[in-house]
Amino acid sequence: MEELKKVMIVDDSSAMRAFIISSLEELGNFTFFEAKTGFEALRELPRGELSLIISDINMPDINGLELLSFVKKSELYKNIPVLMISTETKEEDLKRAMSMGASSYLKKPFTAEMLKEQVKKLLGL
Amino acid sequence: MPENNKALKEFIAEVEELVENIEKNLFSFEELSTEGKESPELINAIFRDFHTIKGISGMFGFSNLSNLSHQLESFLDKIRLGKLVVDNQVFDILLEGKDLIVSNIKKIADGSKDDIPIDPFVEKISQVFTKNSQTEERSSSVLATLKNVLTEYEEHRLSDNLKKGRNIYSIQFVFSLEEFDERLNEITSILKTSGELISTLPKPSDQPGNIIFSLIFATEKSPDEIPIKGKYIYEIEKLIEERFITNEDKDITGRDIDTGQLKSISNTIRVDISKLDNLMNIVGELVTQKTEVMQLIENVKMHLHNNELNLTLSKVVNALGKKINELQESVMAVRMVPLNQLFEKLERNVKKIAHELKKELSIVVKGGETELDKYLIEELADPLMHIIRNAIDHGIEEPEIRKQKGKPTVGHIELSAYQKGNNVYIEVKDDGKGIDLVKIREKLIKTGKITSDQDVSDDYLIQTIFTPGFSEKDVATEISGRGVGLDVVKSNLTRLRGIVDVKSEKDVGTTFILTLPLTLIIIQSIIIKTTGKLFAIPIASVEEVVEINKGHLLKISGEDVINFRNSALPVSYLEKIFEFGEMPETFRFLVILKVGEKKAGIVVDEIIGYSDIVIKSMGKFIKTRGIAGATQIGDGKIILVLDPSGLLDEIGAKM
Repeated sequence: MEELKKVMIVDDSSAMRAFIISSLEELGNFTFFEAKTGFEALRELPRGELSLIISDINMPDINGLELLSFVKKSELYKNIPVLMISTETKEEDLKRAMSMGASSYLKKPFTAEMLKEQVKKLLGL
Repeated sequence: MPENNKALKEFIAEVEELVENIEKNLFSFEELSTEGKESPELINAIFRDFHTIKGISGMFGFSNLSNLSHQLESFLDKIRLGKLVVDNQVFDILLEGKDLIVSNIKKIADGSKDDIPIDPFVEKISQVFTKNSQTEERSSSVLATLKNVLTEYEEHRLSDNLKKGRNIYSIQFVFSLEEFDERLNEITSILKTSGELISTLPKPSDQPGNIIFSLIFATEKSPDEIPIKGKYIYEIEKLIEERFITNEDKDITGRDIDTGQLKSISNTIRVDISKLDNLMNIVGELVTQKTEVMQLIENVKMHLHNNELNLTLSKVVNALGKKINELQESVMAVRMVPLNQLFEKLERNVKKIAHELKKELSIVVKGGETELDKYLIEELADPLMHIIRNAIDHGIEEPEIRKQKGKPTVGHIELSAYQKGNNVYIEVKDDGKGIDLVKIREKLIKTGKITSDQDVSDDYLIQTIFTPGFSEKDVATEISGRGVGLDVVKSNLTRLRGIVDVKSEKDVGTTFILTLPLTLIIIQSIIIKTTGKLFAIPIASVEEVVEINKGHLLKISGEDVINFRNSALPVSYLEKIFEFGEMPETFRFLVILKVGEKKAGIVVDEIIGYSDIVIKSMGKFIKTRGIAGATQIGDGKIILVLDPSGLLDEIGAKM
């Protein structure tokens, strides 16, 4: 059987996490780590070899850019692709994310199809 | 969207929860503002909640609700970015908006659509906008190194705090991964009692299992008054708003390391640049003395007819020489810093200036990783800014004119750096209208510098932009005028032993090329002798040395030239340039100097040798064109160091 790919979803909205998970479940072969905050994400990082991180930008304790900066500066994690999510009004923040090494981004609102397409591309499925 | 009941339930529950939060925070906010207190954190929390509602309702396809929360989110965004003042009317609107969300979500929960009309409400919001909007001047004063990881809002909080004159500190902690969030929560709740926490940046630690956090904290207090003092182990650093260089601004970074900790977190140290200067001077003198010792050893060896001893002496002195060279290289490496920081500053200023001049432009920066001596980088900011200002002000055309010329309306500036040999090149390239040589020619004729029928080269015309009193526009503008012209840029660069070249093509653009030595302290040079006097010439500007005799000389309009590889090369004499009062009798060598596009030969009697020299300035008051300073050579003698760029100008002027 094919190995399960580990995806971490970082978003303070449980509805967003539920939406992302239910969309990606259709692709199969994933296990999900959910992080409500950037802090939880930092804690989850060492727990498994992640294939992908999907993170919101606007979050309470540390924001998605700060999390991204941590990931990209870590020898251990810098090769994990990071898909950033934000709203179309925060164009500037997305630009910063891309310049800091994010692999790709999605602007809210996006459809399950758009998400699946990005994830497939990033994971080479 | 996926028809997913679980996700939909999650959605409704979350919106209800968020609305409760909003209500609670709104009332706390009102309470605090009646007490006259600021509460940017509450406003940000409310913004975030509206933002989340907008995001998720869009995702779940509830467009009316999404639109409504979008309106409220942008309303709050204006407030948190300081563009809208909260008064009673604004407060009532926020409450009304919140209630509208509640009634819509109720309908969704009942299984119908989010169709409660929001138009009248949206209309009300836009009226408040036009009434209360304040245009906030966007401050460019954001600490460059931080800017990238801050969201737009955090950046605004940072500049707001800077504007209010508060101190900005970066406080660094190391925690274990198991307990970092607890510790941070404790610390942030203490910090919040005496200031505002702007950003929390996690960084990987070298120790596995540890994590570093850098907090950006704004406060009116001094490092000793911050209430975490003595309770936690941390490094604190005051961040200074980066401004354009002036010497007074340097080295004011305060640093206070809390004592009592077991080990230091970072493996870098900050050193006062003057200590490095001192170290470099000592190394420089050591290099000079090395040359002296080596010469001495050669003499000793000649008198010492002992092969074994001679061999040992050579070995020892060579090993010593090698170590001194390594020492010199290491000290030089310490002083080298990447150009990035300077380029970032320039980039920000470009945007500001473009905005002031109402020009549209994009800037691309390349090669920021190129390293240059710290001192040179500091000194380069002004000349580079001047060139860039000129490019924006005089070079890049107004959008309409660009359109007429068939160019993209957005002007383009490219700032790039690269290293080649012992030099670093910095280029500023614009795609503007280019330097108008016809206009320059007209001006020179008008001022009597040339006659209307005189034939002068394009290069000559371009070079006049570097002469004092030249200004492409006669009226100095707000941006580039200020009575300082490109002549100052040139003289600043000459002082740094750099040169500036310019290439320009009409309607295609202008490129300024700055050539700089990697470091100023130790330079390689050849030592020459003419009419009994010794001089050092920096080798970087010596193209080659050829043997000549008087018979090679030709005369063109009364001046000496030689036919050098089928082109006429001007020949001059240090005796003539510095007016020694005598001319050389023997002609043996011609040292060919080349700086940028300029080239000429200097006649000398003797080539003494090759040496690393340390140039000492002769003080502010002795200024002779063509002389860069003085140096001590091997036998302790003091000799003058020639400045090839100045010499070539001098030769050009006398031709």
